[in-house]
Amino acid sequence: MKTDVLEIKRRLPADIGRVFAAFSSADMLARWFVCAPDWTATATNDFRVGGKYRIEMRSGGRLVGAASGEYREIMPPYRLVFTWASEGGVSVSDSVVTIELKAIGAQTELLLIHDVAPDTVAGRAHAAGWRGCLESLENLLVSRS
Amino acid sequence: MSLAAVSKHVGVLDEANLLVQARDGRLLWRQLNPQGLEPARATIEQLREFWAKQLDGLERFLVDTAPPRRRGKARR
Repeated sequence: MKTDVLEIKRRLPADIGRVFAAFSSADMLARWFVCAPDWTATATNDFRVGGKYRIEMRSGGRLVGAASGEYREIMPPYRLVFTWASEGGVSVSDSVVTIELKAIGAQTELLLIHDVAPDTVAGRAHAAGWRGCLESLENLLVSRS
Repeated sequence: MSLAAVSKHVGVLDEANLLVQARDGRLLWRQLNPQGLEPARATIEQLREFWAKQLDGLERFLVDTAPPRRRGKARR
């Protein structure tokens, strides 16, 4: 039961260099990081390990969401790991996003992993492998009671 | 598994709000609380929708900014 990790795979119609570049500057991020075509985004982006980013999304001039965090790993053009906290539409804090890119000819396969609880007790319980063992633990507890 | 190990792991589950307990005389019953997983599951579903839209935006951007092909017709 992977209940606090989200994985999305998407095939994109561009080569791996262009896909990676789309994440790598404030200008690029601002051009696509919106939930709907009529939204606008503004971004600051210090693209280096330890550097911070912040993206704000607006709809009709009204702030509708913001996301911010810090870069943990940057391996052009294959891998990107950053912390993620968001307000607005979906509020989460202390989460980690990993982007993995794989060239498939002139296209790119993007794998996005969003771990919403890497540092919480729930996340640690998960990391310890307990989620998969809950049933057997339950059986054990029942049989010993 | 030793009793101490069971107790430690039960503690982790308890902290994660995955257990409910009920006292029956001198017995303490611990039961799995599947609802403890619900907030994480709901957040994941919202995030799935969110990221799907963001990736739509990325795809539009990549298509709109695609370099013209050297040979043959341009895309638009």
